[in-house]
Amino acid sequence: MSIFGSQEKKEIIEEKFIFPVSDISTSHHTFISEDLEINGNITGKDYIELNGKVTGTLKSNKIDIKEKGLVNGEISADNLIVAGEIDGEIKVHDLYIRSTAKIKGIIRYKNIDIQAGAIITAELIKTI
Amino acid sequence: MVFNAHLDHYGLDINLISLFHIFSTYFKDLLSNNKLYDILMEDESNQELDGITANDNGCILVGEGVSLEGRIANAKDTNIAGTYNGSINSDSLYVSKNGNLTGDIKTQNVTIDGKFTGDVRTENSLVVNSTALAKGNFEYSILEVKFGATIEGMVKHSGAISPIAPAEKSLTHEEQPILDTDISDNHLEVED
Repeated sequence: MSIFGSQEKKEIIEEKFIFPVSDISTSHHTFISEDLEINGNITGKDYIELNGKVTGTLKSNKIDIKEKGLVNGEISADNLIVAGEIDGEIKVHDLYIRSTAKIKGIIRYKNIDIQAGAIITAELIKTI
Repeated sequence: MVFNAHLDHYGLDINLISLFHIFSTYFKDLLSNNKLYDILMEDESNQELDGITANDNGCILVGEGVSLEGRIANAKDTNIAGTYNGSINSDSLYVSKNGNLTGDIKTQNVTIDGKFTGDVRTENSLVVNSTALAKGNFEYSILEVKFGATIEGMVKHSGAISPIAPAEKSLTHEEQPILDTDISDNHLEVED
């Protein structure tokens, strides 16, 4: 149990680094659960946490694609964390790719961070 | 016990440095890593230049300020701190912060801190650090990019070695056809 506890703490600290807690509590936090499948376009202004499947476009300020999240289409965000799968085009300011991520397509970024283990087959373009 | 005898012999004149020397010579055998011993003793006869010594086999260093053109083959360690234009076939490659490398690279492991333009094929890891400016085609097995780095061009996973975190989804996909064949085998047995 103690091992589990320490792991959870680490994850929380990591996320705080990118999304301050105060930021999340005052913003609109959208949660898409694991069993949800969406075909179409999603446009938000704040934070979207994706655990389900999206076919279409995804647009928001901060998007967090969890391990079970899957996107087939276009993503544009200011801040994107990917631990799941993406097949399509990504337009983002700050991109964090976790070790469990799988990405295929085109990535347009300003800042990029890739953890060892991620599987990426894509064209990387740095935008100014 | 012997160590105590040394101390008694030197008496009060012993200073900290000589104590350290006695200590490290005494435990020389315990330090299995020779490099660690060299660092501790600050042996001037074994001066290193960016981790590469003259007697090391298969190592090449293009020093800062040096400009070189050519083809490097069968190297073990390659360190580019200057400007190099050409192909490299080396086990490991490091492009340091002020290094500028242009060409085709074939290696096991690459770490880029400086400037790189060209094609890379690594059988193992490709590490792009925050100060790097890398452009070209990259084929890798493990890719690591630090925040702030610039990496542009085609990035392709070769899939030779499985990544650190095994993907659960791919495992289940592989297991499914095996299960199917098992069922069909059972059917055959029943028919017999």
